[in-house]
This record gives sequence, structure tokens and C-alpha cells, in this order.
Amino acid sequence: MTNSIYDQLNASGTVAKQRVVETFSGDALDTDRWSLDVDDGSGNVVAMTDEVDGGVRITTSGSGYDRVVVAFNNKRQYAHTGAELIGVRKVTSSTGNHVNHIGFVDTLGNGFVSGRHFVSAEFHSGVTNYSLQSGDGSAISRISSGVARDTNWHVFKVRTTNPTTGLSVDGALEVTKTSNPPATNMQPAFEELANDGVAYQGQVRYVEAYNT
Amino acid sequence: MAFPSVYEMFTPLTTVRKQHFWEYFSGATLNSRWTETSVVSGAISDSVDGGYSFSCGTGTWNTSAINFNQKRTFSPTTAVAITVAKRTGNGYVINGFNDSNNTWGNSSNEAAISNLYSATYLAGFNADGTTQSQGNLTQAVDTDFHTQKVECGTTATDYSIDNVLGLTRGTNKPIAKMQPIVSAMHYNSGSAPTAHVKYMECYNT
Repeated sequence: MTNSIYDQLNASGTVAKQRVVETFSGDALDTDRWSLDVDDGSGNVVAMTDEVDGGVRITTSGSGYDRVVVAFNNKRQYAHTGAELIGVRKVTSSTGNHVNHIGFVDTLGNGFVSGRHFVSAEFHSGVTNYSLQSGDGSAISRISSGVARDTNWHVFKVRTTNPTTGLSVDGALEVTKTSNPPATNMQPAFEELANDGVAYQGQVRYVEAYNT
Repeated sequence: MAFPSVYEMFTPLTTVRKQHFWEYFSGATLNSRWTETSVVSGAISDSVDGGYSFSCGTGTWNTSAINFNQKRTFSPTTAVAITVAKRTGNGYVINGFNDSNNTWGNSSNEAAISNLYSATYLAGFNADGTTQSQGNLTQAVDTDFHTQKVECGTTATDYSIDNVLGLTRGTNKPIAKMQPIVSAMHYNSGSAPTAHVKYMECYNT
């Protein structure tokens, strides 16, 4: 038995790098840590659930295009050259016209889109499988994880080492790609985006991000 | 280095982790994840290993608690609460799970350990929303910190003190989702109790 969490996570003589662990347990989202970035929506709700294993839930307003990102208010401590993020997430509808991301993004405003540096585990209601998606500040690309999208909880692990980005779902063999890797430092973030005026929900009960 | 991530300390990546939190009660103030209900003199202690302490009013059965404001993410059949706590003063200090914010009685769902100043032993409480009942553990009542573990199972609740199982009780076990709770409850006379808590961890299994 070691006496410290530090020793469980860091080799002897190694200086720990930035790490955050969020369990989304409590009466409200920890807004000392997390910030909200909302685009074109009023009436969105980001709240802890009253549900066994429910974590935090984003509910879009149900009015037009609507996007909510929960992030670190542009405090970008994670390196595009070596960072990983583990997230436990689900969406409550696998159909309709909505998108959910969990991963790293450089700058708030419009979320995980072309023009941003990011790497994420993407749910897209128009794409059969969960995808690894990344952006290099100008273009984006995705590769299928091979795991079909659904409404179940999954553990997603995304990583970036530049130029390689990777994604595993529920510990399965990682898919990787080298196209459009992020090229700047980033923050942890997760997003729910509704395109068709329907109220969609995305839930997260764990996020751990760390530099490697 | 044993683990690349905190996640993998407890769960392989092939398993989807369930709700799990831990709280050190360390800092300038109580973490904002907690709701303080009718708390009197709640503060982080300026003492070695002091954690957080709070009291309640001195009226008969006055009760105070820290809780998650009924964000009940823990299962009545598969949840564990580990609390390092102690009582000073008179009355009760209770820790574990409850579906309400500040009610101890027949109408709540509860699984918790109580330390009543006038009792001989610590006690394990169950309540199923209709009836509350309790049984004695083997740990004598005192004013020391103890590691107190409540394990909600499908047929019974297990109660342990300092890693010694003191009671298994199926009667009136909870049947509804619950939240973590630490309570101080005045008995009927004398000084109000003060609850001291320096660690709490809850998880679904």
C-alpha cells in the first residue's frame, strides 16, 4: 500500500503534470471549476440529476439551434502534444438532429467546429457510430470508432499526441488518426448541440483529464 | 506509478464507472457541492485533522444536516458510504444515506450509522419510507473519530466501524434512491451535538 494518491499516479522522482478529476456529485455543478458557454439558446438547463448514477445533465431549450458547452472558461492547461481525457457520458436520444462531444477544445464560442483546435468523442445523430473527431484550427475530420451510437452510458478515452489522436470506447481497441490534429493547448469540455428545435439531453458523470 | 489515471485505480476502462465521489472537507469553506440544512456554526476546523464541524439548534429534536439537496444519485441496493466522523456534545450524530434533506424517521428512506451520546453502542438505522428501525453495532459509543461504512445491499444493509462488521440488517432497508448525509440531531436536553467529519466517500457498486 502506498500512502499517497501522488505515488499511485506518478513514477518515483516524476513531477506531476496537470490533472483534474470531476465526479459530478453534489447539489449543483461546481461553477468554481466549470463554466458554461451557450450559443443561440435561452432556457437551457445544466443541472445535477436526481437519478441513480445520473451525474450532471445538459438539457437544450427545445427552441431552434441550441448549443451548450461546459468547459474551463478558456483556461487551457492541457497540451496538444500529450494529453488524455476519460469521460463517462450518455445521451438520452440517439435519433433526431443533435450532436454531443466530450474531449478537449481550445476556445469557447461555437463549440467543437471547424476553426477550433479540438479532439473529441463525438456522438452525432446522423452518424452510425461514435467517432473520433478533431480539428486543427481550420478543418476537421472524423474516424469511426466502430461502436454504434446508442443511449447507454459509455466510457470514452480520447488522447492527443500530435499528430496522432485516438479514441477508445469502453476500453476497446483504440482507433487513431493523424489528420487535422489540434495544434495548441486546450481545456476539457463537453457539449450538447440541438439543431432542430427539440430539447435534447446529454449526461456526464465523470471527467478526468491529464497531461502525459 | 501504479495507475495512469484515477479512473483505473477503481475500474478498468472496459467497465463503465458508476457514480462515485469523495470529499476531504479541506479548504477555506465547505465545498459548494454540499447543501447545509438548518446548520448551526458550520465551519472548516482550524485544527489538525479537524475536517468540518457543525451543530444544530437546542430545541427538542432540532436537526441539521449537510446533504446534496435531494440530488439522489445513490442506489438503495448497491451503494456504499464511508465516513470518518465523530460526535461531541449531546444528542445524535448520524451519517450515511437518506432520501430527504433533514428528516430522520419513519417517512424517509435511510441507511446510516448513529452515535447517540446516551446509548451504549453505535447503531445502524434502516428506514423504508414507512418504518424506521435500528440495531446495535459492536462499537461502544465514544467521542473519537471512526471510519464508518454503510453498505446497501439487495437484501440487507451492512454496518462496519473501523473495518469491523458490526451489524447486518434487512428489516426496513431503504427502497428508494438516496443522497449522502451527515446530521446532528438534538436529543431532548443538554447541549446540542456537534458533528465532525473529515472524509466521506460514496459510490454505487
